[in-house]
Amino acid sequence: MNTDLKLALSLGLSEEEWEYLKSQLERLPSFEELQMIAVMWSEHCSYKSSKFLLKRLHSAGDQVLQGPGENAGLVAWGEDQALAFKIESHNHPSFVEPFQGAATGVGGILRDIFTMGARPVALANYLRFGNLRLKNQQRLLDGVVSGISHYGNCMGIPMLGGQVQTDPCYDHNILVNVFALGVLDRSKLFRSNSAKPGAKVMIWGAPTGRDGIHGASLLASAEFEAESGQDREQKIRVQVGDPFREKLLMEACLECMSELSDELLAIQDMGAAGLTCSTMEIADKSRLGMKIDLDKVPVREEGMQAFELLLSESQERMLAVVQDGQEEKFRRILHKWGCVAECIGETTAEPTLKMSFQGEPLVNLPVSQVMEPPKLALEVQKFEVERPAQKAEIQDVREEWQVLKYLLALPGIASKRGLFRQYDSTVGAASVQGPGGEAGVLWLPQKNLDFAGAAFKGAWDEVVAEWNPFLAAQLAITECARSLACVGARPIGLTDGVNLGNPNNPKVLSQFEAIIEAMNEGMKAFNAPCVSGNVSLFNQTKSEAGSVDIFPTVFIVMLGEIEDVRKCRPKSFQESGNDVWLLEAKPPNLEMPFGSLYARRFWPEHQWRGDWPEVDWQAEKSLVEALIKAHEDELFVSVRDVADGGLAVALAEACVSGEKPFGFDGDWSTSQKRRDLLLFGEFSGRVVVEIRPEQRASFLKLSREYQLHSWRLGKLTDTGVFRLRPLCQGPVEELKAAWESCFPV
Amino acid sequence: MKSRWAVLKFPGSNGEGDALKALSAYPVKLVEHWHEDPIQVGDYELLILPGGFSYGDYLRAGAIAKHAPALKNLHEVISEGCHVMGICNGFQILLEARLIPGFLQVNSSLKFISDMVDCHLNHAVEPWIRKEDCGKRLKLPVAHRFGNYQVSRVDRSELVAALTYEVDLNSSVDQIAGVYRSIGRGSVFAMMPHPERAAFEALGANDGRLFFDNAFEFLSERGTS
Repeated sequence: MNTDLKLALSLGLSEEEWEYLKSQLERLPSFEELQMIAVMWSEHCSYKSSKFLLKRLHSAGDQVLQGPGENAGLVAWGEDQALAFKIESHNHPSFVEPFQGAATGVGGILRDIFTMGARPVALANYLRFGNLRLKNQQRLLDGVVSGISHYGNCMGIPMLGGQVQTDPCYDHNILVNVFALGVLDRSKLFRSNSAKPGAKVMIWGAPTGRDGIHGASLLASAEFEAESGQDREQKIRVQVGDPFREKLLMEACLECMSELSDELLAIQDMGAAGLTCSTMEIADKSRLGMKIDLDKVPVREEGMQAFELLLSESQERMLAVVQDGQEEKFRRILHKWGCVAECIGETTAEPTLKMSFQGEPLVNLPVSQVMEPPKLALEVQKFEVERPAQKAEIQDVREEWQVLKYLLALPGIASKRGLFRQYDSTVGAASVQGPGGEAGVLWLPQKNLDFAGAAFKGAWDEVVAEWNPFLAAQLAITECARSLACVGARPIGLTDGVNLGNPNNPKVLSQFEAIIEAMNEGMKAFNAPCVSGNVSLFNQTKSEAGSVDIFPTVFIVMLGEIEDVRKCRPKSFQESGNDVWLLEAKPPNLEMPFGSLYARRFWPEHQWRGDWPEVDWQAEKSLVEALIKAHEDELFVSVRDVADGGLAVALAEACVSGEKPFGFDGDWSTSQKRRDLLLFGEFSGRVVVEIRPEQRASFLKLSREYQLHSWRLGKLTDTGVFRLRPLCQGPVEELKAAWESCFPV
Repeated sequence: MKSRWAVLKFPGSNGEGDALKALSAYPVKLVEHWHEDPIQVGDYELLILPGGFSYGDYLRAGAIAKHAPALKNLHEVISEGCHVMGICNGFQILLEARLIPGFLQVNSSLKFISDMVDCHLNHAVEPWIRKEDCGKRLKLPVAHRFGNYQVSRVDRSELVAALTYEVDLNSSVDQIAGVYRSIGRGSVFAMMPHPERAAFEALGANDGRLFFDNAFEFLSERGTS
């Protein structure tokens, strides 16, 4: 079949890219070559609009063993192990087919982890939906949660947390990002850049079918067409996952890696753009070529054409390069696990990718020349934060109790137990804190440290990000570091799941640039370099006014290290009679609760965007150090970050989220501040701690030593009354009912 | 001689590592047993069928696993003195193998349930629960979609409802969490909760150790006498 511009355009290439391709090849591409290039140059595979910004991310540190660019990032774990971790998105497939879309999202990220040689040990999911009162959004939520639960539970990997938020900007473009963490022996670490010429190329795992063709180029990298005619066509681009097959493939791969580590030269998972992307990646990174015989690809459907074999995104497959003559040893292990293992070609010193099908040479691509699309001339303008023209006169809150209950029932704050209960969070016998905890905490012994543990926490507030992306990134990083410190963890690394709108809209990239700038400040302050990540673009909602970009949503997930997990304390209150204190990094000089969830909901539109103080990294670090010290000394009975909804919400949640609800008695009558600021104001650098009354002196000493501010908020009671004198009071059962109303069990 | 304990592993099992981790605390000869290798009478004194999704739960949970070579002589192996604990998917396999009567249906919520639940010890059953343990309450994790146990009255006569939930978790008959049946010189104990995930000081959850402590004590006493 002849190729021409029309075909190139229909496959998603631009006119410039078509011309560039012809000039690189000095001929017309074959039909198969064009199909391959179209998918390799798609946004999803090439990161052509975001790469130049991503390069600026701080990714250096003594602990970093592998930075961005491989299947997952790696940080050192003790003397001889490493942790592999990454977050990945599966947004568009999940909108088209929520169950399979979310399930294969879990499958994809797990493959990234075990491709490195790591056994996955924890999962988390970060979700965004539109208005949950819409029937379709409820359907999507149910589908996504069941999909994640189905795949993760069957794989036997505990789901330790995540985030669920809603905003109308996701009405036509939900976000499904999944984080995974794995642990490996440093001497058995595998990459895709270590193949040698004269070795054999094998496909492992499931046979190839027709599913997921064009998933990367036309589903993940294009604007959404919501017209019904396209729905069916898009549905066949969603892959179908089988967690049982993935479990077998995982066990087989890990066994090969452990038994045959010298014979296995390179390995790459077959995700987006399947065989095309995995062969190109290994060839490019290892600086060599490949000769592939497509007839040898194991198939599960008859009559598959060459381009279908090249583009299929059938799940649960791996591409491996193994030493010549050793294929049989690998085949034996893969067959034991019921996996297909077929040799499809060999590596060559000449750096071209040659493929033949039914005896005919179809593909002959010079790898390095066609690996990347022509550079886009993207200009990024510095993001300017809009400041309100004048200060508004806004009345103080009146119905405090009603407002408190209202906030507790919002999806972002309410108990997610109804969702989390569907995820197995205890398999692996290592979960110290699961969903609903301050952070996901896992018992992960190190050499000479039997009770060491890893913790992770993710955060993002897209509403702030839309207005002030710089501030949003600062707040997310400090929140992650603070939550980790609450469980006694010191930050060691970070991964980011970037979800943005259309990169051709100048605002989108300028917001992203601001986010990167702030992330770099924070990552350096906490020594948590970014070692992996994922970018999803073209997240838009169609409306009558045209396509509207989603708010910039960058899930920041920070990883930390704990010396002794036995010292981790819960975030719910534990014993009546105990004192509750606020520990603050630096009290802001604010008069009104700007930016708070309360202001966003109850003030006239846009008035909430006031003068929010920027983050003081030094003070935040001091608070983090103090929390880790308190953890080591076992000073607290419980400890929690003050986040969305402010102090009143943090206290109410701590009272009602434990096994039995506590009453609370606090006297705040000495404060001169506005009631809404006291109760619902939100700013960085605050934690609520519960201590035994006799620990007061030690607590105050700690606060002084780290130059923090402390304030006694009240004490826990058995009265069943939640009272913040003189602001509000009521039965704690009402708060519990409100908190549990959003996602009923 | 050391007591010989084994944890069976099927393709799709995911609780075998947890069980091995929990049992490694005891000075016994502990092995992971692959599903394709037959088990002979006298090979093991204690055998765990772990949780997970054996054979992907294709057809029905446990339906394919019962045909595994390892389970071929299971009835005889048990009668001759092996004590089998089936946990979660292991419970489902024991049902499919007709070693336990009744069936497990989907939870009444129709959803997967992952939670920590209070369980009650009702009867002394060898080697897992001693007389003095009866009445005790254990906090154990559950993680299942098909945990709603139903059994007819006739079938109940040979069964001991050794473990029950403190609250109605999934509409199991009589809130049954685990059933026990003695067969010849051995026994089967099938339960939905996961004691092997709650056997560690580091996790602050070690109620599950009670069963393994008791079994170790019982079997080593028997071994020395």
